[in-house]
Amino acid sequence: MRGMRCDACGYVFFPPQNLGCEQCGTTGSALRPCQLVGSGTLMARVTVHLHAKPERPAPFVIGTVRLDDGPVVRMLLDAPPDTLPPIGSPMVAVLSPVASEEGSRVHDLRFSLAQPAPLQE
Amino acid sequence: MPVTLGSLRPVYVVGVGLHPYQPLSETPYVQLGLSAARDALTDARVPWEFVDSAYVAKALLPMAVGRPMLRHLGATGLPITHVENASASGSAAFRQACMEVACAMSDISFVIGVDKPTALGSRAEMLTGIPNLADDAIVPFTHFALLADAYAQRTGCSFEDIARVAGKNLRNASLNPFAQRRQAKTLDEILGGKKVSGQFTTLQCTPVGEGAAAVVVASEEGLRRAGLGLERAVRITASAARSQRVYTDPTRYDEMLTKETVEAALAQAGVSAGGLDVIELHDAFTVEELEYLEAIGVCGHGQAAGLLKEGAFDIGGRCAVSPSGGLIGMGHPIGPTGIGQIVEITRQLRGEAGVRQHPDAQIGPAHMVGLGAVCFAHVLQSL
Ligand SMILES: [Zn+2]
Repeated sequence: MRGMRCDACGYVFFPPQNLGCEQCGTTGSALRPCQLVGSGTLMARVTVHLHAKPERPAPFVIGTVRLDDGPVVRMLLDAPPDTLPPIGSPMVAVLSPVASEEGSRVHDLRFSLAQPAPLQE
Repeated sequence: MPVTLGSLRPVYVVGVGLHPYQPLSETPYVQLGLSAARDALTDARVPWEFVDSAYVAKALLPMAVGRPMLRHLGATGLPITHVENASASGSAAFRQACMEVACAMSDISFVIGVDKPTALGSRAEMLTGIPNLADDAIVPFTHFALLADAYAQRTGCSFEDIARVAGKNLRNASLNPFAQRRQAKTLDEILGGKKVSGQFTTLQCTPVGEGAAAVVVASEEGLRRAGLGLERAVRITASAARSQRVYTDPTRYDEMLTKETVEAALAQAGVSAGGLDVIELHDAFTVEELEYLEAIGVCGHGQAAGLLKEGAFDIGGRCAVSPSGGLIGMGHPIGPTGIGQIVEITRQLRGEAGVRQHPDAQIGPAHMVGLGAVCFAHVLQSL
């Protein structure tokens, strides 16, 4: 995952943009792209039951993840809608194949449980 | 040092009016607005010719809705300014009118909010050119559903505890003839409704409809000019407005922003969160009410759900929270919403809220958050 870092104030942010640092207003070369580790901790998760856009058929799962690099991001989780991973779980970014409108395979960045939970007997 | 509203000459709410909040109908917006406008002028006993300026709040209707509406009160040539600030449009318009009267540029100013959900478009955040992950999949109800999930985890309260906010606000709305939802619901009915996102069911989310709200704001000079005294006046002792900064947990910006803004307003008014009698809060989604009550210090962190269950936030309880029914019960026509809060607080402080009257209400703040993210807080006090 690519994020950005402001050399003027140290703020690390996602998504990347060079319009100006949200914390101190710095622009230009002080805003540098940086690599974010694609791992973090799950802070919240929900199953979305209703969604107006047909290209995102509900139900799907959205999570809030605090990246180990600092930024907090929200994105789709690779998780079944009826068994959500517990808050506090370690998560990793994965490229998940999704069918596009034209029928070709495209990939979508999602978060998934870092270690699959052990099966309960 | 910037001046505060309370350090300028006193400003009073002297008249209030509403058109019921309701689902989208064929009623032209002009009719919605005029009904609220005439009620507010009648309530104030101020003739339209005495009004020095008008602020019109709307977010969904097209530009410049003011004159085609207000001309029917008599085209006096008064200055009209339109205000758009998302959910806080009405609160922002009210603040402008208060400031104008406080600094003596006007003696009597008129504030009206009117809206219809006819032009629900895309959010500005989607037009910035900065693509985010799955931003097409995260609409406001999912933002707040995620906050509810984190809140339940943080405080140990249950989703049933959170849903109780809707129980109280729908009960209050059932007593309010201007509310969009006028039926009290049991907790089972609320929890058993159609699922929206996370633990939210439809009755835990605000209905966006149409409606209008109006208030007349005046100085003592303005009242004197209209031959009136302060008998039914409610003083606005504070106005605070802020926008979102960078917070440690950026997802909880609504709460952090609320804390900063309401604390600033209470400090201006010189009142403590523990001393509030009645409060109108932004409760577009149930969890917001609990988070904001804790953020502004009405109770300690993690205590709001328990106090709600005990009835502390009912009409007649320790502090009546959203006696109008709030956004969940009264509804959220956007432009009028923040002004409708001022209408309810004014009625409460005058002792004119009828079956919704909270006993001996003297201090009441109104609080709104807008997408974007902006926050407004006003403190009203009886004389
Ligand atoms: Zn910076």
